[in-house]
Amino acid sequence: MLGKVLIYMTVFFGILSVLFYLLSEKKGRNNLLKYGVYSYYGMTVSVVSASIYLLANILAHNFQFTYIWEYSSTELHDYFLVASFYSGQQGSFMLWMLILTIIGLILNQNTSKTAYQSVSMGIFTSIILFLAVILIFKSPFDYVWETFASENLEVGFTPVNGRGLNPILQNYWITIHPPILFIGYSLMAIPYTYALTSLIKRDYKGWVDKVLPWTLVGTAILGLGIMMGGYWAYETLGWGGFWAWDPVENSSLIPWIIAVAFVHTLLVQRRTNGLIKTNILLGLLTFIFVVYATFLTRSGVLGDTSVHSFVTPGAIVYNMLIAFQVIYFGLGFVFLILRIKDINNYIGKKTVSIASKEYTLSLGSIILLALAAVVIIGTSWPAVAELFGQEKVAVDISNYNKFGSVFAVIFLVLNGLSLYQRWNSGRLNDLLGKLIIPTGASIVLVLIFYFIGLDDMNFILLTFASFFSLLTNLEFLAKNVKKNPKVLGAYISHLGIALLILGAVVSGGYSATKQVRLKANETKAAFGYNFTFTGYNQIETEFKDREKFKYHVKIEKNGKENLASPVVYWSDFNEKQSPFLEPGVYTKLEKDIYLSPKAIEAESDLPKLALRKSDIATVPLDTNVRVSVVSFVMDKNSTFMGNNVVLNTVVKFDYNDGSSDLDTLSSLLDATTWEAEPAWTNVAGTNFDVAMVKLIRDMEDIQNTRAVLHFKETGKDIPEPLTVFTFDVTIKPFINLVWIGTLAVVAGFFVALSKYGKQNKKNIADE
Amino acid sequence: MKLKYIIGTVIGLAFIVIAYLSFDSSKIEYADFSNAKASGKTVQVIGSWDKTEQYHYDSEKNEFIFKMIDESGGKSLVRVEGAKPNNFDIAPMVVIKGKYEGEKFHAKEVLTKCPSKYEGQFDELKGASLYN
Repeated sequence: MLGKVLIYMTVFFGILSVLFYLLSEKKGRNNLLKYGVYSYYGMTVSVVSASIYLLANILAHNFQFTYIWEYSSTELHDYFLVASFYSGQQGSFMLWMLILTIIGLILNQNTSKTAYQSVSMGIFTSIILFLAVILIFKSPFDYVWETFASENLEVGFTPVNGRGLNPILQNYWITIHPPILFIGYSLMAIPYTYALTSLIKRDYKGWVDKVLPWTLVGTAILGLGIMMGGYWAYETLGWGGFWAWDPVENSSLIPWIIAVAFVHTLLVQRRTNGLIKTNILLGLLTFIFVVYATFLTRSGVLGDTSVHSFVTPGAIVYNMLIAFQVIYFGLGFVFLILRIKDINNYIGKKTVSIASKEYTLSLGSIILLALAAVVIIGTSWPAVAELFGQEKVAVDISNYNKFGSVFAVIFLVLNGLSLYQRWNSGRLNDLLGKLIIPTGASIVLVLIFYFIGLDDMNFILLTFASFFSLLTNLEFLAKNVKKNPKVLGAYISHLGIALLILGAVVSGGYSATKQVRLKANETKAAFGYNFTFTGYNQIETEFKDREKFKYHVKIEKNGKENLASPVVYWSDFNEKQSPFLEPGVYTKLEKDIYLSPKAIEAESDLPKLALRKSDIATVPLDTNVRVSVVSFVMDKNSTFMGNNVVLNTVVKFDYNDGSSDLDTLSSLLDATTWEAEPAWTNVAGTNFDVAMVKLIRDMEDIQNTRAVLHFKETGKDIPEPLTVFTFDVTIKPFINLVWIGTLAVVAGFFVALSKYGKQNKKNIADE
Repeated sequence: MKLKYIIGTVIGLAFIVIAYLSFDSSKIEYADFSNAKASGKTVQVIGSWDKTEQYHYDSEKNEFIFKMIDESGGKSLVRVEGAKPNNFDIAPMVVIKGKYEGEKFHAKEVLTKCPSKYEGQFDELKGASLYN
């Protein structure tokens, strides 16, 4: 009850705040502004209280709430309980709203006593209001008896335990990656807000300095969030790579690419007063595509095409998310059309030289936007095709790599080039001379790589472009590190991009995989390393809902030993039907040795035979006896006792003296694996026992079905079965460059903030 | 000024057409087993594991074989390169991508879906309750 009241209060204060803020823009109504601010504070209190209330109920395991029952359980560790907050749709809308509200407080402070406050805060608050309205229809505070109203559940019913969190996700990354992503998403609402404000207030210049620091922070954090997801996928989820062009990844990448282009076009406008309309459009689009990403991942339209699972949120939320996009895009677009004439008058005549820095930066931004367009087209394709009544299709992800690699070559070269160029200058004469050294050095480096084994033309071009960008940025980094440390941000970020692309090309294009199957203490060689399976031990034994094991593999080369331990675990989450697998990674400076577990099998050392019906073989323990399978009889009375089935195998033993015996071996088979614990039968007159332990069914030819018989000497104990561990070894060269590159990109944005952030404050003070 | 926009628009449109054609020519259609067999093309098939048949993982060949029922009720053996996919046993829906080679469908990729785990069903609620 309280939770829902708090959401209604959020909507109430939200409406008041939007109205007061916007009305206070009117001449002579400035006195209303303070009511807008007070209402915003009221909304903030409601949002924060609602969030605390939800979190408190999660921590208290109050499973009366459907949402908490669905995404939480008493077995979860505290920091996974925190993650339950945003594990479902309702909670993630809630988190988004909470972060927006906090950002709004800062925005309110920043715009306070400026001409922007009324309009900017009005627009920004309306976005929060929209999410609050969604939360009325899709509430995390529904009780189970409300959700299942048609089932006549009594009021006050409390489920004993929640359904818990998918064990795949139970990793510390789930407490870090989603919130960072949401902070990034939320910050992208600021460019939209400022772009629309600039249109409404006809201030096409002043907003640039205000929006730049916000955009730098937002782009840095969103980029960090995206790549954390990649690291998580690589390191624990065992996807084998950090990027799979999955729709969920793509939909977060789209606003990021647009934001990166936006940063560059903003810089052009700061220096040259050009690209005014472009900047307004891009400012609007970054946020529109955040909402679009939400729509793609929350509406269920991509159901069949992604490894991520989606829930259809119901028609109301689906339609509201469409309305969200249409309204905010429409609003921005209509104002842009209305102001086009005005902007054109403001611009005046101006020529841009092809040799100037602004020209190159604009070109680079166009390339980035083209890349964004490719990702948008590819990601939306299945949804759009269905919308037009087309047959369902999936896109081939190699398209992204194809376009991506061409565009990457262009923008890396443009980046290197732009460093030597000047703003507002058309001089070319000294440019070529400066380019000789980095170009030559890049060619030499590519040649070295060529002789090591770089063969693909695409990769050669990408490697060249990466080196070119890397070297030029290094040069400028070195030149300015003492002289002008404030300008270093751009060089660090571009250095990072070059490293990231280099790492992606080499680790993606030149990774190699081999399968290794090892019995305990067995050693096999692959890629020049000796792999030994040294045993396993159970971990996280304090949890009753799982059986989790580390499988230790010793990796040895030239006497140097290291350990990588993939994890295999069974969980109540899927009734322990199949294991969950996590890779083990041995990280070296220049490469990762990546072990992904494939199978754990128990192999008995006992003598065994696999016989088709009417095959005859000599008994391994007694050469005087031959054995054959006569028939299989399914025990009809006991068919499918739970997950098991009783199978009687009639076997015939022929002795040297011409006599023979029939024996019936009864096996309790697991209905999915068709394996059984041995039930030993002594064969009369011999010194051995026999058991039928597995049925190998041939699905193509039923006559080919074989029974696996184990034999042991009567009265002897059976040896423990050996564990056989099968895993893939993948060598990932230079994968570390991807992570180092990412960190450099993010760091660069923050360094740039020290340059543009200060100016921003100064500008505000000037007003 | 006008000319600049016209050139820009033409280049932009040309690019979008190129991207469209590229995706269009390589798109992977959904099909059922009979169509997949007839066309021999790389397709995606939606269906579920035929639980009356046992699946089999061969760690020496590194292949996983199971029988699948497509949405129109057709059945086929499916060979997957690699191990049994995560959540295979509990997934009510499987999406495979690949093509026929002989009598078996060779799947390059397998997606397993378990939507029921994401939104609670009423019987689960009862199952974990005081009634238990």
